[in-house]
Amino acid sequence: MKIKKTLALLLSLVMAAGLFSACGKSNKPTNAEKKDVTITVWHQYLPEVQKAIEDAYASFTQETGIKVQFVKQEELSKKLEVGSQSNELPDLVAGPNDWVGKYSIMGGIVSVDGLIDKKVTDGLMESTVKGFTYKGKLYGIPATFETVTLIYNKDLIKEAPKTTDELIAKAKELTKDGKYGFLIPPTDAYFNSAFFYGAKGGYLDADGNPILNKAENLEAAKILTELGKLYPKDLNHQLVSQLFKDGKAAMMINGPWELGGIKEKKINYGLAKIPALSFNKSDASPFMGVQGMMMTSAAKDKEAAAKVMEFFANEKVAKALAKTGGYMPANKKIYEDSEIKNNPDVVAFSEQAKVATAMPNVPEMGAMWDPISKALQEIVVLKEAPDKVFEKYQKAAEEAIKNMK
Amino acid sequence: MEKVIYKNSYAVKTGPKRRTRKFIKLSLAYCVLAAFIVAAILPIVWIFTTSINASNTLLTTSLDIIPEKMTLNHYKNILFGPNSNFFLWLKNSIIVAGATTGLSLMLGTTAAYAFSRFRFKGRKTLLNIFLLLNAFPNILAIVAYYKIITTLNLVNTLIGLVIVYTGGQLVFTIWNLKGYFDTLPYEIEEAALIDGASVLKIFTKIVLPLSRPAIAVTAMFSFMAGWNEYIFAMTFTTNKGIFTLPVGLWSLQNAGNYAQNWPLFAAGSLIVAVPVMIVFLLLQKSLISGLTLGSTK
Amino acid sequence: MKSKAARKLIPYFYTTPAMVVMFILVIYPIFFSIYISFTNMNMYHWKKYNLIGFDNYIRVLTSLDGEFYAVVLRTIIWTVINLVIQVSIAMGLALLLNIKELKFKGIMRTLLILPWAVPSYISALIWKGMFNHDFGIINILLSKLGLSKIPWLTSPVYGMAASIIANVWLAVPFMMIVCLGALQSIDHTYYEAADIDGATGFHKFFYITMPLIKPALVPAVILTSFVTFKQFDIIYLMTNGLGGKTDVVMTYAYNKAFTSSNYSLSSAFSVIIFFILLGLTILNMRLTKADKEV
Repeated sequence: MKIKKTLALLLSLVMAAGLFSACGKSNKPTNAEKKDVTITVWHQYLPEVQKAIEDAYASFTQETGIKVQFVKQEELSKKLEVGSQSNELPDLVAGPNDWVGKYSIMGGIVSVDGLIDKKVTDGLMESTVKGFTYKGKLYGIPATFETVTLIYNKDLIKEAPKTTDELIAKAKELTKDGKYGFLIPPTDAYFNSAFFYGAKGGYLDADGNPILNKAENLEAAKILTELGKLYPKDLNHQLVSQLFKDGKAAMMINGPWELGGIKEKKINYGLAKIPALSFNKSDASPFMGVQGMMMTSAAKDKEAAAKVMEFFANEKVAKALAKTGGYMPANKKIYEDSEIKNNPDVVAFSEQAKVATAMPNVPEMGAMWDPISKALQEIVVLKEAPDKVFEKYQKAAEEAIKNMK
Repeated sequence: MEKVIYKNSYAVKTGPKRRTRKFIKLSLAYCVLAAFIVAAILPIVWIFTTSINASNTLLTTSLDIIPEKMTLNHYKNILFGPNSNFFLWLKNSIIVAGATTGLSLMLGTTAAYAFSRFRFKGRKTLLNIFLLLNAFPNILAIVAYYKIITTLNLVNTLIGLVIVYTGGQLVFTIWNLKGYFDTLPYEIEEAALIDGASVLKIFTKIVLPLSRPAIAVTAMFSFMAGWNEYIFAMTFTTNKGIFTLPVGLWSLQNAGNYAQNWPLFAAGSLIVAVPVMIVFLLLQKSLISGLTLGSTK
Repeated sequence: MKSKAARKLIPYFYTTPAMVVMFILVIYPIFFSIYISFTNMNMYHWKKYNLIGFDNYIRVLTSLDGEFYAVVLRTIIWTVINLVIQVSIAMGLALLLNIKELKFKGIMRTLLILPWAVPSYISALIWKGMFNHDFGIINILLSKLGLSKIPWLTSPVYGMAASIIANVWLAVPFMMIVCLGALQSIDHTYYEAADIDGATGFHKFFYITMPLIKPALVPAVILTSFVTFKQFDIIYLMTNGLGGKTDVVMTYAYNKAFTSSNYSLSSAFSVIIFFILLGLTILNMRLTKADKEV
């Protein structure tokens, strides 16, 4: 019977594939022989950044004998989630610090307390280490941090405004003839965080409770509503960056990942701190995300994996990340390096970072993005009354957090 | 021949008045079709425009099809760039889509044949249940699929993807082939049966060759399913060596943050879509006669 | 040759391989999801979860002022509008392409089905760009024609309209081909007989064409209605729910449960969506007696 034969063939194929996949997994020998260890790291850097990181790790492998294999993964966060169910995980993952709460609870990543040399963490900016600390335990080694800042086109505006009142006035003055004074993706909770945290309101308190209905947030909403009147309709990340790169926007709030494209288009740009809030005279305080390496529950050779993590904060890697990806290193020493010190972009972003708010790493933050972005949509785009909107989404956020459990 | 004569005599009888009406009717048909053709291809033309645009954009205020600053670099980067593994991804995609096609045809033709030619208990009910099972939102059940794949020990294999895609295509495959088998006259098979041919022989030697258009169309559907799918492919494959084309192309321009390379994305989209378009062209005759979800007999 | 009993077994033999695959890949995930929907499998109980009863269902059905019902109603309206437009356009195009005297049929047909070759997530992103208020080609064309710009992606009504246009664009080709196939399988003698009786085109369509192609359209319409009801890419990528005002069941479930990794809650959503869809379809089949024609 043809079909039976084919089925048998198929079955054997299936089994062969199973064998292959079993062999394909990274080999994890005992501690005694360090020579043959290969540590696998999943990450989501662009290919050219990965290459720079790999080059930096060459000397590490030479010294320790530990081989490191970097694999770029799409949908890394989802993979961590489903993978932790069946422990189909690499040894390490590189990602943002807001994964810490969620994946430590889910059992995907484990604490590295006691595995990391204190000298290493001492050499890093405190706020970045804090970003990887959850419930008093260290879960990762920070390598870089990123935040958004004010990016302006010097040909359109000579000097960046210092206060939000100035910002609004300038934005109004410069929005004309198809050009825009100031742009920000209106519904993005990350980009707009500067005003909410500057107003001393915010999204979440330290215990992970939503605080959208805090009175101070209304002040932030006022500023954003004023600015929102000047935006083109259907503004989003892509459009903000494109208008700026086309020389049609005088100012925007954006991150270091945009600089490459801006330079390519030869825009005469400058960086400045996001204007301070006029009503309370305090600095605008955007979210600061930290990128680093975390250990998964599947790591067998924890000592070797910890060494790989430590090296991720090393100056060599830090330099590679700063140069190829425009990332701000967490390693303090790097800022004494003349090449970095004289780089105005890095200096400007690190100035902004000094007044930034570390992105919460509690799992509750994961449930906040959607309600916040909906609230921003109603306030800034649809121009509805902020107090009512905040009350509504405070409730929605509370329910969303309840629904996580 | 008879029909033609009939038609001609009809036309002669109706005279010039009817002919002008016919002419107007035809021109109207052309106009309506032209309008819809423009609507159908405009977005695709626009992907093309984006893909050869030297500036990173999905938006423009100009209506030019060829942008001011034109470049073919995005295509070059995808095909031969240092970070691209295009030919490996292509190979994987062809394997996945091809195997999905083969497997679903193998399972589908046999089942469809039984559903079409035999009257057995639960036939209608089963067919209807198959159709209704498609109502399940399987994207939300991604963990269930992951469980199946891990249980079969197929994590990180192309076969794992093939099996998931085949499962998704099977209902359509069975329905479409069954519909076509129903239209084939049973008399030939009956004669063969009387001559002593086995059911298997009839199936492989008579039914399958006669069903070429339907098989071609069903194959195309299965192939497209494996070719275009990205959600499962992105979640289930962690080994670089088995990335499929959509996953690989996505990885070329996605850094997990807000910066996205639209022209590269557009060029990648076209590279994925063009082979399918070519298949459309090649199969356009069978496409119509072979898509017979419900039989008219 | 073979005994009668053996012949009776043949159909089962031919269907078994497909059944096994169906069972593993279609039926098992459904039962698994039903099981999970009664557990507390969320990020706090990710690896060890236990049965907790109807909790998740109660949550879905009693959420914030019953907003789930509004979403279901919107999804039904979305599906009906989409299908009506899709089928009418597809049928219209098929009838035109079926005109005997028409030339360039092949090339026109191929051009009309091209949208089908574009994966749906790519279509969604493209249409989002095209519907942009100031920089999208559609409003640019509208203003060149002297019309005012339309806030496609900021107003809920237009957001829905834009999503429908995009969805129709990508779904018409399939429906059109189904219609064409069905039209071409109609025996011409019917029309010739009608011509002799002096029937109008209108009459011919409703008394000959429709009844004859209906059986061919029913399964295609059912499959398409499932796809439309469960549409996610288009609405999510184009409008991202517009503050919940254009949410359909899938985007709603995605934001409510999937993003926060509450797998048991999202399973409850999928089971509820499954049964709503089943109920509506069976009801519809009964009402139109379509199930008799399979």
